[in-house]
Amino acid sequence: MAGADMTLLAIDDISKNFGKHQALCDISLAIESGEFVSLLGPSGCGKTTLLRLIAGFLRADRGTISIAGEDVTGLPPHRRPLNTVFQNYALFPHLTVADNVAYGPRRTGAGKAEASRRAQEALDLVGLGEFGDRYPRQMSGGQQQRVALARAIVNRPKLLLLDEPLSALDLQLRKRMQIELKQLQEKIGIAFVFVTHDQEEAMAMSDRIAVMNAGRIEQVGTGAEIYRRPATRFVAEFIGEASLLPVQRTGNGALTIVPAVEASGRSVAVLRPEHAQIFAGQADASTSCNLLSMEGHVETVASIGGVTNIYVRALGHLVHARRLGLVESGLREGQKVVLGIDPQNLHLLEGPQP
Amino acid sequence: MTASRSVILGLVALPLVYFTAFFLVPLMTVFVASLTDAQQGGMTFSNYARILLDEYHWSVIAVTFRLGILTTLICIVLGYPLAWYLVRIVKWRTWRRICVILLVLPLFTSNIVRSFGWMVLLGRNGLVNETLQAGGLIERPIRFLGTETGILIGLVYILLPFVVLTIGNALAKVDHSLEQASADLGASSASTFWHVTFPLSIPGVVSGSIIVFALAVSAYVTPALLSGGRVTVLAVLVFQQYSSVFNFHYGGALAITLLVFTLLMIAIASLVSRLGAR
Ligand SMILES: Nc1ncnc2c1ncn2[C@@H]1O[C@H](COP(=O)(O)OP(=O)(O)OP(=O)(O)O)[C@@H](O)[C@H]1O
Ligand SMILES: [Mg+2]
Repeated sequence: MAGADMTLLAIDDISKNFGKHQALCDISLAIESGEFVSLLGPSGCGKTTLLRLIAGFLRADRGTISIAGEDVTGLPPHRRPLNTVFQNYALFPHLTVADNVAYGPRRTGAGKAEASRRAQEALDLVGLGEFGDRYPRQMSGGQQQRVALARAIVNRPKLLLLDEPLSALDLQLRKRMQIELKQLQEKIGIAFVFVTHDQEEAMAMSDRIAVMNAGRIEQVGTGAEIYRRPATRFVAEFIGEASLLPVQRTGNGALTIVPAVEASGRSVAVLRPEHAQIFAGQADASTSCNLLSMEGHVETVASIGGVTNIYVRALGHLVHARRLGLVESGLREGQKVVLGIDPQNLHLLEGPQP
Repeated sequence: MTASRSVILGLVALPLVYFTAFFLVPLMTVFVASLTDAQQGGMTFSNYARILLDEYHWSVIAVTFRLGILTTLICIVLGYPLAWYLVRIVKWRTWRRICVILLVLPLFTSNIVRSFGWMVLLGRNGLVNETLQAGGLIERPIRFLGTETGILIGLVYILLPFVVLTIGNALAKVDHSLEQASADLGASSASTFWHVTFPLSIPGVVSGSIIVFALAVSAYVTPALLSGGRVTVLAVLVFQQYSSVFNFHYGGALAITLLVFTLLMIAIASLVSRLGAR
């Protein structure tokens, strides 16, 4: 039972269809108290649908959801011990900011004075203590976002659901709010389920990330885990950048890279661009032992800000390499180079790949 | 520069001309007539004095506005659930469309025809009385024709679509995510309705009320037909003066009285609702 005590939200084998369209398929996910979990995935993969199922706005076709050990699958939204920050904030336009935030306590039995005291507390927490008398329409986007947050945490739920809460903000504000939101989450100790399709945001904020694709969870893990050891081809390509290389084992168990023409049916290894080294000639490559080397030529060199992306064509594969700073002299398009890869940096995807 | 100035002048002048031609001039004509003496010409308040210093006229005003207020209230009470049903309950689009068509279809037929219809239905041996008697609810037929109740039924029937449409419109505009946010914060459905949906639909209720009230107090055909000459409202008096007595001065004063009282009522109502919102 000790393990069960820690689990705050347990999602078991949830499926949801919209007509013939399968929006969610066999989703299972467990979230612990105080944990920050991001749902990350491309548009239309079912993130919002999953969130709405947890909140109770949708009913699942199959499966169960329990919160703090209680099965809430059949409960209506207002009886579930969680709160939501909506994507468009959904602030009540006819109520002042203070009344918006006091709405939760008022509806759950707090008196007028008690409710407004708690609302003031929550507004102070998000730095909007002075703005209680305004109406939502008199606030900027970032301020409205904070009001929505204050309104959602005022009842001190154990679990907060956030559907792309920062997507309407400009980049600067967004970065700042990411930090503030994370700090707030740690301070109040509420578990967050945070929907985003921005992987940097997910990486920067989450304890764990659930990567979703086409109604399924492909992998759940820390940012480092899903980056270093992606479970599927989709995760490898969706998170960060990667070159996918077909490989085979030679007699002595060492890995070799298979040319593109013989690729079908092989296992696939994931190579991150920072792990692909580029040498001027074979001699340089063999100075460091144990490197897999491939001859090729530079196809594209592109500098963006502090990094340079180099695409090398070798064995028919287009391999992506990255260097910090501007590219060293002599690396031109069309130039012959040798790629060196430490086999330890190759992550093999499990199972046969198409 | 001069070209754009003339364009701007035109843009300002056009609506002005429009309002002057269609609203101000007719109104001023009536207003001036109401202040002119019928025999000698020249300015006088005697037309108004004749109305406001006379008990009969006050009783007509009272009947008119009692009918207006009751019609508005009943229309809101009946129209709100109907609008709710159309906007929120009906999921099947075709059925909703059919309902809306059924609702507005009567508006395309003549007021006179529909009022005559009610005369038949509400008569001594009309369908309403027969049904009530057959159901054992009443022993002798109720007299509807020639009573305020009869007129009220007719007015409510004719004006109900306006309320349903304005309230339905307002309800459709209430963002669903606001109701979800309310539920998320712990409010039951009933609580969500009272604290979110209903307050946000009030603009529709107010505009519907104003339309219905204005149309009810100025209605002529329905009260004239259903009253059987026994109940008189202001619009009927006005019509008599203009069409049979040809006293445009006294008739004009009656019309202006109706207008002023209507505006006064609407002003009071909006003041009350604004104070209530505090
Ligand atoms: N009410 C609905 N009726 C029918 N299909 C729906 C409904 N809601 C969602 N879908 C479908 O389910 C799939 C998942 O939708 P969902 O909104 O969960 O995606 P998402 O991951 O949140 O995408 P985004 O990042 O664009 O917000 C989509 O293909 C969508 O078209
Ligand atoms: Mg979404």
